[in-house]
Amino acid sequence: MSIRAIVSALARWIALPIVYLLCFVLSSGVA
Amino acid sequence: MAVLNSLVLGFLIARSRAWGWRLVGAVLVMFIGVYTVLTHIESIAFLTESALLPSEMLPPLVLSGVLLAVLFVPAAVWLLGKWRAPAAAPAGDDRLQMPPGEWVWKLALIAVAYVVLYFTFGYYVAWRVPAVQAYYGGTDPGSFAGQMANVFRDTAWLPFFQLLRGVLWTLVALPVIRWMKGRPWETAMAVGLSYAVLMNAVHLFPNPFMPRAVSMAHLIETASSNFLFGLVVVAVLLWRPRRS
Repeated sequence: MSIRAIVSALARWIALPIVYLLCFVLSSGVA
Repeated sequence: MAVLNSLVLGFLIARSRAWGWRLVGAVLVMFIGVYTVLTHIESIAFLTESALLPSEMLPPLVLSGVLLAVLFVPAAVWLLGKWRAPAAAPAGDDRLQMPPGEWVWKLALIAVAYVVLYFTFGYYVAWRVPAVQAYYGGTDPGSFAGQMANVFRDTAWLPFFQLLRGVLWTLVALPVIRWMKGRPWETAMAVGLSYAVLMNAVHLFPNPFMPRAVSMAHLIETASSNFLFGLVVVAVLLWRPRRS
């Protein structure tokens, strides 16, 4: 696995909770 | 909560043999099933009946839970690169392929196991905490048998309601179990963690409807029993009895 692939995978997993938080705020606001 | 829930859901997505809309559907069923349906039918049974949770609060909670799932799951599938079919399609297997009779006895066994875990952990982990008794307006009869006698006297519907919940817990995990990669123990961990985390991460933070001590007692009670139950569900469903 190349360094680039590792960094890309890491970035995706780090982004996951941020995306979750955005969806949570959005869904709470709408409901 | 965002970190725990998103990592558990990410694990389900990353380790699935499915992709695209099928994967979205499988994870949505688990997420909406545990986070919204199974959580709030319990709220309806306990909190609204005793006026601990205003009934008008429920529709917005349900709606926000469903919306969260509908927004997050497709985004997570895309983010983890599972929107398109992989170059080499993973090998299929015959998980959950069994005759109707086997489904019936396995679901019945799982439902009974859920009721046993629910009342055992409910009594020994949660009910013995004085703050929990005070919150629900009950007392500790001093023994598990005494507690069960009280349950059958005051809320005879509860064991049957929990039998149905046991079946529902199982149904919402079926798509994930069917398409999970790896060995059965990995699937068992995934289902156990999903049951434990998706329902309970909310208890990590103070909420206006429950004192902190009650919330923490429920966190320990349900996170541990749900995790164990997840292991039981996968062990029973993936166990293959010898056929003559």
